[in-house]
Amino acid sequence: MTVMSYIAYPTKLGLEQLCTDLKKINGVDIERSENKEVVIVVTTFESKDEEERIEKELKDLSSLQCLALVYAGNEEKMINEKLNN
Amino acid sequence: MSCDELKSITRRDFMKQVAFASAIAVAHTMIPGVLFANEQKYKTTANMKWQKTPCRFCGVGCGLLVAVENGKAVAVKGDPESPVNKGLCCVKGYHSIQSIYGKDRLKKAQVRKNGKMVEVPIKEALDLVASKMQETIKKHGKDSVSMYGSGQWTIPDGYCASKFIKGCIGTNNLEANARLCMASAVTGFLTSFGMDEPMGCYEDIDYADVFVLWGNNMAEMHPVLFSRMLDRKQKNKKVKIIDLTTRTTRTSYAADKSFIFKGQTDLAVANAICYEILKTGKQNDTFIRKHCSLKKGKTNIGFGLEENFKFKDKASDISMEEYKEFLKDYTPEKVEKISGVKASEIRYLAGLYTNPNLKVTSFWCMGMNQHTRGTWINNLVYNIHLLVGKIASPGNSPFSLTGQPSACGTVREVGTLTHKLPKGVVMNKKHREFAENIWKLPAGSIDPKPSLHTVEMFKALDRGEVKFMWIQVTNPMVTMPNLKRYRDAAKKDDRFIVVSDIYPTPTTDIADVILPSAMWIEREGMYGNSERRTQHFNQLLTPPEDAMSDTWQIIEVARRMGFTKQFPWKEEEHIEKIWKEYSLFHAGNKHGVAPYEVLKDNPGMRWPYVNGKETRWRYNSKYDPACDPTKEFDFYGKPDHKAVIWQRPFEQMPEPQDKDYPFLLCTGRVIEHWHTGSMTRRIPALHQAVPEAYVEINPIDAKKLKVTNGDKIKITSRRGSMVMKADINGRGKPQLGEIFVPFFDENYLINDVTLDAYCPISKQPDYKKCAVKIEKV
Repeated sequence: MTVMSYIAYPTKLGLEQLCTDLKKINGVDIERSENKEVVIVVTTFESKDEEERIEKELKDLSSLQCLALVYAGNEEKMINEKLNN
Repeated sequence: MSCDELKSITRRDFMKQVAFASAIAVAHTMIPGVLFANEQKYKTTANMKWQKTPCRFCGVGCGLLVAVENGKAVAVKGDPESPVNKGLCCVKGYHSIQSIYGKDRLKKAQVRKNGKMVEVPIKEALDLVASKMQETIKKHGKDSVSMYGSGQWTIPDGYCASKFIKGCIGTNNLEANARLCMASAVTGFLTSFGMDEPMGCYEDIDYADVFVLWGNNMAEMHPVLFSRMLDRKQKNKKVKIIDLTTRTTRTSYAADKSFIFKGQTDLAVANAICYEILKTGKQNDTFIRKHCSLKKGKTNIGFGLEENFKFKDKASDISMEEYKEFLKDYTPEKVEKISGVKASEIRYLAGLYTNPNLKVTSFWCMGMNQHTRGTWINNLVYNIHLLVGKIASPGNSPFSLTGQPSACGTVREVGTLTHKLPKGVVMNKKHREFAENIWKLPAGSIDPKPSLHTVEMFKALDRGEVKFMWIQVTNPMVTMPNLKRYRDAAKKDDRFIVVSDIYPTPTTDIADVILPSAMWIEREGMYGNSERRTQHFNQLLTPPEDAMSDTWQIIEVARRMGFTKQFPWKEEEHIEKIWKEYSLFHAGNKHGVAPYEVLKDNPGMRWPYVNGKETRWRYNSKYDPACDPTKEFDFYGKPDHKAVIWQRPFEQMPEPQDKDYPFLLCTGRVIEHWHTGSMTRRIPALHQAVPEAYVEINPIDAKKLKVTNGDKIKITSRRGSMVMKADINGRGKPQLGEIFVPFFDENYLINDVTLDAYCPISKQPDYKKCAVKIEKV
């Protein structure tokens, strides 16, 4: 499983529209800012196909101006070890 | 719900929590005052302990906070208390801890037996290293052994290496890979100012109005400083970024202006700026009279391509009139023809440097240092700043950036180069005696003659003068220019190579002994960054199995060779003891270093550290306690307290394009990968981002060769060839007749193609220019 997080900025359609659009994408979670035009986007996927599907859906959003990648993690082994300890 | 399902949900939630937390942390640094309602929800678990460390990768020296839980590093974020990065990180920093957990991590020592590497207890491997070293010295003399380290050595690593090799063994065959990246900066500083390292600091970014980037793709190589510069520009609309470059890069796209020059002609451009400053009478005569002397050195100085090449520069005084006469060969119109930079652009640059209302900072890194006239071009950029007196004050700074986390702290300050000692040089009797006294060695233990610089050390390995080499924290079998010669040399029968590393590399492939090293936060240590900042880090993790710090490996071998008196420390306190001993070398107000306890408690301190205070701008009496307080500026590194304006001409590169080899090859880096990729290529996200090396080619050249993106191209020089995929209109665009290849990928050893010519003063090779031909395959 891979998890990635981004900082996302809306187009002139606004943050409200962007959040509405993002919530419709399967595999995407968001945390919107309370006071700025910005939203945190977290994507979670298990396969290349799923990754490409999410990427395409994000690219197609007219309400999304840009995504800045912050974090990408694939740490199954590490977490499993932690749980097994 | 099954147990496995429960685990899966927990894992997913945990990873999302880390992802949200990281993004929120970054958002705070990018957007002051930003609020998120559920922020607390993403705070890390109670078991996590966040601890500070400098980043493992580049010379910017960003402060990180690493979370450790149950003995594992599980999260990383920028340290908001670090004045370097103020909470921001680049993509390598954010993924840095993943480099610890690669599947093929070296955990056991290995020894070559009957041609094959076999795992052995580390004690056996250390015994063999010590006995082989002793045997080689007995048979062939002390100068038949050598050690090759790195700007990624911690300060204690380098200090112990220097004490062991130069002091105990008594050979000056100690070098580090910073010879390949920073040596021209060192000789530039020493010749112009008499002391190494920048006079300014990163706060210059907060004051400068103009940034001139000399052959420096900061957007990829120093991304956090680049972000600080863009932030400065965003907040102050008059701020300008000027990109002087040989190829269009990501930096070019963010710059206000990008001026493209032909390789090597930066020498001519810098001289033309000086010509224009003096022609327009906008020099700062008072500053020059009070604080500068003028000198010239030898010319037509060669490129170090001959075996046993020797060069020593000779300085002689010149007058301002002689200097002006010399510069007449560098009118903007003449230099336009040489460099391709328009005369109007050169005048524009001179205008920025001379404008009394603008503070100017010049940044550079490998473009100027990996240059067969690297020392000269460093001198020439200092000339510009000295002529207008824009130096050593907030925002006015000629600033040489470093590539590695401790190229400054270890290689330059500890002095792990053949001619250097922790204080001073081996040629100076007083400096030798000073070191011998601190090291408790008999007088005369240190050899007064510098021996082999890096390229010459590998040539000596080939010739058989060096029989034993111990390589730590670096990967020369990817990075040496004209690589094939040195790879073949290392494989010769009677050569013995020891390699200390954390992963298998092309360098461990040629090893007779592999020692598994501890990763940075698996041991305690210090790094020194580009702005003279020393940063301490605690041991946060236990190294896997037999992995051991490079410092402790040296101590173990030295003790086996009988040097217990020089290395008496207990393991639990050795770093503190080493730091305290090392501090003795730099005591005083010119290079005093912060006490161990201060370094432990703070996100670094900049030397000179005097009376409990760090120094931000050297040579400026307002900030630097070493200055004569009656003068505004005091270049105390030179006996006459004056900085030198050097008369240095433009001289052509050793191997320009010709009809047989009509292209020029430039090599370099990409943001995702650290140097040879031995760590970053094991981080899935970074590897996937740039999975393999490629060759950037100008679209017009590509069209002529009927090459499209992804087609395979054969690059051939007089030394070797390499086949790789073409990249057209990608992140960089070379000029017509030029190509660019990043060197991070061990599957494409581009240094089989490069030339081992070097600057005769700094002995640093030029990886930026050699003649090649290219063909579609």
